[in-house]
Amino acid sequence: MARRVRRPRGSTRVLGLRVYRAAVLIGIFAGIYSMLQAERTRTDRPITLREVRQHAPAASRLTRDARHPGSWQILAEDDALLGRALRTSPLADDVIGYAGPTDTLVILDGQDRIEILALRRSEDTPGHVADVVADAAFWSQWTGRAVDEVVEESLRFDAVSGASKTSRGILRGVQRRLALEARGDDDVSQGLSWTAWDIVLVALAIVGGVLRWLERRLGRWARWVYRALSFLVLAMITGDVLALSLFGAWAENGLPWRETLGVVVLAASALLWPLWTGRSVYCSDVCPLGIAQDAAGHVHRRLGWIPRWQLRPESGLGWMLGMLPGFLLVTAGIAVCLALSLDLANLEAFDVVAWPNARAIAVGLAVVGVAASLFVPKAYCRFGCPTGSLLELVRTPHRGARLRWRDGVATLFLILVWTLGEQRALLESWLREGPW
Amino acid sequence: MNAAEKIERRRPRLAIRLVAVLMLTGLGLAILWPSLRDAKRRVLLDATLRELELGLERHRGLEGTLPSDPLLPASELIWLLRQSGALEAAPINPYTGARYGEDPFELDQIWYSPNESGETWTLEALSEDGERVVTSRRSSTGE
Repeated sequence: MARRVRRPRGSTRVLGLRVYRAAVLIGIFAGIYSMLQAERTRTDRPITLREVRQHAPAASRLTRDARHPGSWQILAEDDALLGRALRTSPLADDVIGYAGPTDTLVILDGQDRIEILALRRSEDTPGHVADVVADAAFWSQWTGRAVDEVVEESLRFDAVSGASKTSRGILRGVQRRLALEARGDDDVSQGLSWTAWDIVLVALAIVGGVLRWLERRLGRWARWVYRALSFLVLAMITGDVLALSLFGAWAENGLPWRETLGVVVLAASALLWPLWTGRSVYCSDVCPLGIAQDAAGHVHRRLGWIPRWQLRPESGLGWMLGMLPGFLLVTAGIAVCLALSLDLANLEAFDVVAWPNARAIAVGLAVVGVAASLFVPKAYCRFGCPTGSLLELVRTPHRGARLRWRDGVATLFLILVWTLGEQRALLESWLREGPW
Repeated sequence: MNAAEKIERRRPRLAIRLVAVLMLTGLGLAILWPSLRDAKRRVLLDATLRELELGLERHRGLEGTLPSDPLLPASELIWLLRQSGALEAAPINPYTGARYGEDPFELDQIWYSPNESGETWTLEALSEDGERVVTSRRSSTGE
């Protein structure tokens, strides 16, 4: 006799909630993307004479180069041709290094050899960009190279250590722009630039979810081995930790799947696992800070003499601290929507993986967070992590799933994003007239 | 314990929660405030550049040519445009919030330069730290 499979009660409601939460999140990201793309088109920044003079002091004026659309001839006072100036934006705006595109100034000499390569502006992670700017060897390796030589896809060059994706993005942008200059086409950047570490990150994302299902069969040791591997890869080698600054940059510039597939898959799994299973695999088993806090809790249990405090949500302090990550998330969301100059990496501790180039605020938050978790379980995750709050937004367990106040806030935010996108004039007048 | 007593017991907690929400909102505003000031300056700058662009177009229409000086600060450009009748009122200086010309020692970080005689120009604005550059360009061909 065939066994009857009982359909769990409320499964339609759970499915509806999952679809609703996924739709709200996608709607927010799509709204921010469409709004900021329109803003970017409006605030284009062409090459200026003053800018060219910083690198070529003899430049007297710029004149449009009729043979090469989008490039400018640099003329001396006696109208002698000094070279040409061009930039990678807007042609290469879809080349995203780690988190955003970079506009690079290229100055060619009279023989079409690169004389100067300089960063104009970048929407990539500020820390990575600063590393690239400071690396004189990265920029000087281009000097004297012919345009034809640079657009060769087999070209080997040295990336900047610790900012390899950002520097690779700059290279691909320059190659694409110079390919248009040399051959009249720009198909250089259509290829993929995945590395072995992207494959490792994809494997980590998949194995993490599978391990959660097989945990009872394999035992706790398998989970700890997986955690140790995740910590090693994310914190010590690649530094590819999910953070608000990354999600904000992706909402602004689109997903860099051609450049960093591993991080995109890791982020997708971090959102999909809690959405479909109710378990936040990323926070507990992949995030280096989550692992460090669990290890601190383990140390506490082994030592035994350290006092353990439970901050109850009913207490005023517990309730306020519990709300803090959500408030930080909303603050970050507003900053991204309004294209404010707030560096989101300063709101959380994840920049600590960029050690020794990490920001002091991130190091401080990480140290305090891990130390606090000796006394209060998962202190940073519960009371300080806005990225965790974003992932928590979509977490829908099989049982007991219901609409929460977070859903209301997310829906309001979705409406706000799309309204702001349609009412730019109103937003500008509000920004102009505000008391700040 | 009846319902009224329960509500009575909750009251202090509700007050604490309200205070907590106010404190967190204050924290959020404190985080956003400096970048909101930046955004205000950016929006003002954008509006001023647009006014100057319109003034330059009108000047070309009236005089048949653009101001020919190789590099002009905004205050001098505005004086020229007002002399020719291309600009009725001085725009707001985004760096001070006052109208151009009101302060004799005003901060002037917008520069005008014609790229080609009578065809294109550049309006370049430096941020207060002197690093970020915002530019604007128009030409008779609409580029």
